[in-house]
Amino acid sequence: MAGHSSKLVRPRAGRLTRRGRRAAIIAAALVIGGLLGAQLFAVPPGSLAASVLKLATALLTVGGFALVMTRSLIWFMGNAPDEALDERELSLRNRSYFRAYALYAGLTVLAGFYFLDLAPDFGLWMPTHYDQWWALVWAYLILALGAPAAFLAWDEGDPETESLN
Amino acid sequence: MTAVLHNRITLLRTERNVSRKDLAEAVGVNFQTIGYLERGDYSPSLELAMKIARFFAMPVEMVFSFEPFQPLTAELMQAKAKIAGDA
Repeated sequence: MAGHSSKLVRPRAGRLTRRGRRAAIIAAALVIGGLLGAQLFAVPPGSLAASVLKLATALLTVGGFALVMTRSLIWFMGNAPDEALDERELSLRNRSYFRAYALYAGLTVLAGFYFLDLAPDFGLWMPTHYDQWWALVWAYLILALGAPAAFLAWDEGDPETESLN
Repeated sequence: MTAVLHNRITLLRTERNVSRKDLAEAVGVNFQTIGYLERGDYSPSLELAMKIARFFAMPVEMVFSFEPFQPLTAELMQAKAKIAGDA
């Protein structure tokens, strides 16, 4: 329990409150979602604007993940071995992974249904260009890698003080 | 629905001048978790509850309860009255 025997370096708790973390998650989802949405529906595929959007998406995502993965206690809690966490953290992580799996599986089923049945049968929108497929696959990867940590960050409470009170 | 588990961790800790970090190290959790326990946001496993009770050298039912705790002074008065009545 608690990682006292672990050689992993446990990052200190960040300064963000739960409300701040939730705001950051919503902001990141809106920014990345907006960039990907623009690539899918607003910008002509293959254009210079589409390339700029792809580059911005890639830089923001990789930069964001790098920042979170190297400095965040939340990321540590999401990925550390069981023995580095205590029982509350393990319980929180299990719940977050379950929610992320449910979201991922649900969206996969819906996407499969849409692309395999609805869109061809009813003539609905389908990606036609590499840039659009790129945006869809990128969204899928971000969701797969980021959803567990996002749920964890959403649920974890405010940082505690180490003081007597 | 999970029952609310009341506890006296804050009282015992401050009374004995023990920081969250000290208690956390003694019972093998991270100090954030002590804050969750104190606020009742997390119900401990039996193992953790027993470790915390052992740390304070008290029976586990004196530290955790499904019923809200009375102030310790009130319990003390009741105990004194009971002893006086038995004598």
